[in-house]
Amino acid sequence: MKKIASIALAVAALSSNAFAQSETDKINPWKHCGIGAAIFDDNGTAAAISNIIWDLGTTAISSKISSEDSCEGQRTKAAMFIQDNFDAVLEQTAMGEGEHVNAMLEILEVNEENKADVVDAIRTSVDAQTQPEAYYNAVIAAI
Amino acid sequence: MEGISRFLVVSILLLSHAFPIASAQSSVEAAALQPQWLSLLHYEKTFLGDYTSAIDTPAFFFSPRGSIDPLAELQATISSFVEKPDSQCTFPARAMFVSENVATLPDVQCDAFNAFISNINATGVSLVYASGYLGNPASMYGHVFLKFNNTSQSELLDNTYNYGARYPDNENPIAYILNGIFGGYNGYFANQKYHHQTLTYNESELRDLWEYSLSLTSKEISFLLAHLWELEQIPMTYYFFKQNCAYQIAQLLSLATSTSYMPNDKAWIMPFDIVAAIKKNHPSLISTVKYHPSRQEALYTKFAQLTEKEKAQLIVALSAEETTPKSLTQILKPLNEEQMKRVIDTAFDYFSYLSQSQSENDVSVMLQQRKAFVDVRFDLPPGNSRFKPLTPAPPDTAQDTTLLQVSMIYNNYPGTGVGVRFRANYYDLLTINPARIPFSELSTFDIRLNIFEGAKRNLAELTALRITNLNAANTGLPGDNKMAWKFAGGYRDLSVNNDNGALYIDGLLGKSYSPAFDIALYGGLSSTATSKNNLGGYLAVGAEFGGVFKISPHHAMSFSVGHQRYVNAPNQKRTYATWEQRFLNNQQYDVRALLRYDEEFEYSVSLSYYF
Repeated sequence: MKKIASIALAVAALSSNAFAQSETDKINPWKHCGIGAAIFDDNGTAAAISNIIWDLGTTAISSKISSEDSCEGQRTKAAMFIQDNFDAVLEQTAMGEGEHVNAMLEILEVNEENKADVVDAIRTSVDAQTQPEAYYNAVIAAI
Repeated sequence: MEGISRFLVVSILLLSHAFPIASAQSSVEAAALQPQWLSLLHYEKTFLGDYTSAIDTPAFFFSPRGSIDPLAELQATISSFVEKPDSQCTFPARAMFVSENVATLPDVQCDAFNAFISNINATGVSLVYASGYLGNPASMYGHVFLKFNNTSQSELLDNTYNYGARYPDNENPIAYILNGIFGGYNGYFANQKYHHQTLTYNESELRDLWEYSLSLTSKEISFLLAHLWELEQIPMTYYFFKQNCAYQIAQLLSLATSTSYMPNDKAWIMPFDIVAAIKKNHPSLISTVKYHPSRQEALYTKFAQLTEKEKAQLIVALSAEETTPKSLTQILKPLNEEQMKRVIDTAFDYFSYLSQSQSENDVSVMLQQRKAFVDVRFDLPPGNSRFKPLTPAPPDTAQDTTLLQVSMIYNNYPGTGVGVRFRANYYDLLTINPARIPFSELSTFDIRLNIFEGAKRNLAELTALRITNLNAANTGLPGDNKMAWKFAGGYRDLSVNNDNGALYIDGLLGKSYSPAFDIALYGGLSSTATSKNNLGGYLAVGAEFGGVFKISPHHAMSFSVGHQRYVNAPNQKRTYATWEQRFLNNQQYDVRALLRYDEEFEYSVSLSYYF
């Protein structure tokens, strides 16, 4: 359920508008966009949004897609993706390829021909102990 | 009246250059009764033949009478679109409809809507079916949602639209069930990325996803998205058995293609029904079917393909009390690099699967173990291990879900008779069950009426709910051995030779074993509570064992044997047994043979019709 709550709050964070667009690249998504709170806190917002549904399985978040918020910049999106799917992302990084790693690199707009090199670089700087935020930093350093 | 006058002025201005006034008015009247307009406003016909919308949010309508008057709403819509062109941006699908069917509208730039469309960038649409989930009553019958495919990116980044009910936090289970069934909750469409769906269904709830790619034109896709935009945060009353996810998705698809996909032979609709109805009645709508296995199924698929040597090393590695990268490397030493990759990649599925079903303590131990596997995998060269993908039969090939059965019965006590049975939903251990949980049963409203010689009628059974999940695993991996369980409740004869009926609840908790892919054996503690004590007591407990054998596609059988003693009358006992067989491999028909013992023997042969 923690995993699900983290998705809920991560998506909720999309609607915040705390930062100017020009500062997108300086944002630490864990610090500024509520991802950390989603992981560690069962706060009211997460509970309200993960307030789900009869035949929907476990999650439902309704939010029109917007591209205006700085917390929705590519890097923040990648950070959210990593946080939500971290088990799969780390496993596939260990394998050297996989659909989640590929999706993460697409969010970050890494060219097809550079993907293998980026994954190789990430592989040299992470291991099984690596946490999502450190993994994200390794990815940003590799691109 | 004021609105109508204003409408007439506007429409005269709009249309007079092309049509006479009378013709313009008749064109609007005709358009107001077009199925697409009626669908856009979610009108449904009442018993009296009037229209009423499933939506009662005032902001969804331009006319005060909009929720009950399609013509008034169309007139008010046109007026608003002309007088305040920006209002087209709130209702872009209606604007498309009006432009195409009634009149040219003023141009307007809808930035937010255009950004929405370009962000989704859909080149195709898939109907995704999530298999049933016995961990939650609301999810037992599966789920469907729409996936908007953008072929220029990873499909995990595609957008999806779900429909479901929202309910308050900490809702008590009784209120949850009653409100869900009788319209106590509002339903909404919700947008999420596809990777959220795979995380929810494949990873967390261990449900398979079946993706039916639909043959929709780009115009139909745009219309679909435009209407979903209109429905943002618009509630509709949710009813679990009818106006549910399947119903709303079928409505959406009908709106886009002007073709009905609603199965109309039942008073209810379930996710399976829409998939089956499309496959049966509109097969050309489906272009391809793709399977996305749960992590549990991914584990089973990979494990089945490991060599005996690989399996043995995996079991040794997973059984070790403490695993470090060094000790794991030592265990895997007999394997070459490719074999090590296959073993470790299988273990990743194993850890993901078990993390959903283990206690927190077990999970924390397991996560330490997983770290060793991850580190050893990092030390191997990059590159996926090689496994053949599994392509099991899709859900639309399963037997239909409503059963009508006629039986010839012989019973030592009343003699020869005829039985009629109706089961509203869904499937049992012997039905043809692709894309359903293996070795499980989910039956609701199962009623049997027997008529014996002398026109003696007997309501033999009315079971409200019967669920069985044998959870039969065959990997032998540590932890892959969840409990087998059964639950049933309703009304039935106390025994074969006693047509005195009573309310009952049956339960079983035990273990199962699957020695081969098509066989499950189980045993456990069983209990039966009845509202009458004619047989000695109200509560009987004992043991039961049984099995299910899928011998061939045309032949399957199950058996169970149980012995119980009554808690309040220990000298009284009950012994029961069943042996049932299913013949034929057809979605609509089968033949059943049943031998039943409960104080007395009963034999029956049945012809079943599924619809």
